[in-house]
Amino acid sequence: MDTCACHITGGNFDSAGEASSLLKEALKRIGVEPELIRRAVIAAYEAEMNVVIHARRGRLEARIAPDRVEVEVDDEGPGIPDIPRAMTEGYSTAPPEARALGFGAGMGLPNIRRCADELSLESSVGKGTRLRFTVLLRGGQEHGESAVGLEFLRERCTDCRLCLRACPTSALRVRRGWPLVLEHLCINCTECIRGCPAGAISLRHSPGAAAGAQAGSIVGAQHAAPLPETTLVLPKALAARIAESPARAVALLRARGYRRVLWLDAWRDAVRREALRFSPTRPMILPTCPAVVALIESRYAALIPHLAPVASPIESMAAQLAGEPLEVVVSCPAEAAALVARGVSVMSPKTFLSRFGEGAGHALPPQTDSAPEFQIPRVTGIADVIRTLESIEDGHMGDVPALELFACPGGCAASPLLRSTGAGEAGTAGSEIADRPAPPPPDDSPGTIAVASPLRAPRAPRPGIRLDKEMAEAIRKLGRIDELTRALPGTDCGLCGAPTCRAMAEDVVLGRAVRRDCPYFHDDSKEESR
Amino acid sequence: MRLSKLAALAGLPLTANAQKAETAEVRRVCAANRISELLSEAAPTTLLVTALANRHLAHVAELTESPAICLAGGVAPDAALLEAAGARGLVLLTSPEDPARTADRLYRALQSEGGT
Repeated sequence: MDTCACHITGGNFDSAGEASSLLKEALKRIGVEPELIRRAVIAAYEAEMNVVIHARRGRLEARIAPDRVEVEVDDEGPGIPDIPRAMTEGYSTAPPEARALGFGAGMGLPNIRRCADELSLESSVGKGTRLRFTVLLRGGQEHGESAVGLEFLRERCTDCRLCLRACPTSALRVRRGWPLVLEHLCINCTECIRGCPAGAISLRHSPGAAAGAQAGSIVGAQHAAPLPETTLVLPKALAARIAESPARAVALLRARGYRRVLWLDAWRDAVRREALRFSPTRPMILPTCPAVVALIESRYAALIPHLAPVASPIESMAAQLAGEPLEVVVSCPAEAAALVARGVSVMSPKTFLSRFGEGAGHALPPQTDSAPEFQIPRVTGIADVIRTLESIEDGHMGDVPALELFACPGGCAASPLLRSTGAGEAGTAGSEIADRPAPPPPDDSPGTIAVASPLRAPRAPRPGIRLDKEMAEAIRKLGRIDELTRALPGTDCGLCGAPTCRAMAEDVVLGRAVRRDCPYFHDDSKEESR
Repeated sequence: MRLSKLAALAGLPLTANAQKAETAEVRRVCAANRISELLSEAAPTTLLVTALANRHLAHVAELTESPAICLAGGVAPDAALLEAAGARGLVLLTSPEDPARTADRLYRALQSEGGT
């Protein structure tokens, strides 16, 4: 754990902001993603300015761990006599000289609350105040998963909040007009991408190097050429977008510097073939779609024994090709997250098409990954997948030997990332695809014979939705959530930034929001209790 | 939109680090006269518009990686802000109109290329 600390002098506006700048530099050095840095330093700056404006002196200490940054700000000052009031937007006791500089909007503590994942505030009148907050850096690390592979483009977001409604796991929130993802709930499906009319959600990109990709990064369009001896793996449906046949696409890509070009589809077939050798609890669920696997691990843990005990196609491919320079064009954020966690370089379809050109070929129809030769019933689309999982959980479908479930309607080939042609990943090319002529018969993938890999570790429930590690405390919190849900209006309007009133109640109980975030909630006597 | 193009379209002069305006990208404009409001709305492609003109603006831009600030209402940057802007490569623009009218002018210019 790294620590940085800074003394703050009350009333010294000239040096104010130094502690936050130090924290920002420290977070940048360890590679924290920009949006998380932004949240941490805004909260730190607001806390620092509160000391400068109100106290005689103070100290800011930030402790940086791989999964979180914890900031503690202690001051010697007048203290806060009424903390709930101080947390109210617009309430300020800042003196005129601070207001003249643009401070004193009464938004300092509310801003900290919005930016932080956890917040506590203790104050003693006449003595001072201690404020602690935490910003979680990698919510998925707790259960061995990578962080989510989504990026929110602030400049495109119109605050319409349709993404809140689209998310099947209630993993999205809107805070001050800006979508945030609760990483421990996100399964990396594509519903929010599909549901955003502004194209404000896409595959997350990391700043790229001039040429070639850093291990575990997401390759940006600025990468000029692959590193020598690099193998490119991509969905066959995408190859057909750059040339009139897959064989021509392979030739084109090899001419651009790739040593080998392989189809990801080969690993999907390999996993199907291998999975059918097993006969676990009926119906067996194939692990083809990593978002469905994540959904089962997080929400339907009782169904984990139904999952075929083989790695997903994307994991199998990464395991088989481990050790060689590799770039993979992914179909969805779930594939990207799985690969980045293994240190594999990932390229979005948009980047791929911008580098190699789109339009020479033909789009394959969405059903190209249906694999009819395996005769496995498929369910596609997250709503139908959830209905199916609930049906299995209820003891139905025991007469079905095997099922293949895809989060995307139509399967992987219909992922909104693969269908994008415009400025954003969430383009609306559906009609364009339908209008295009049928493709020529695809050639077989050249080169390596794909092999399904065994699991690296047995599948286990993800603790993401647990309310607390301790069962007794979790039950207590559940009771408070039920109680608060009943007190909320029940309109699920989304104005508070949560998708439903129950999600809002959970956020309040878990410290992610306060009751006042609901514009219709009136209960001053219990305000701010968590 | 390139900041230099946006400034030209909106008719606003660049008063500090004009050369950086050739590479800075702006997709969004935010006008406010409170530091906290600027902080919560700023992003790496946000042009901040304000009638404030002190060095704390440079902190806001630094922390949020905003590329530029437009000083509205005819205010002039103080020496500390100019120094901080120079040290951080922050582009400064000025506008004789108040922040709301300035934001409207910039917004209309941005709209020509789909900004917000």
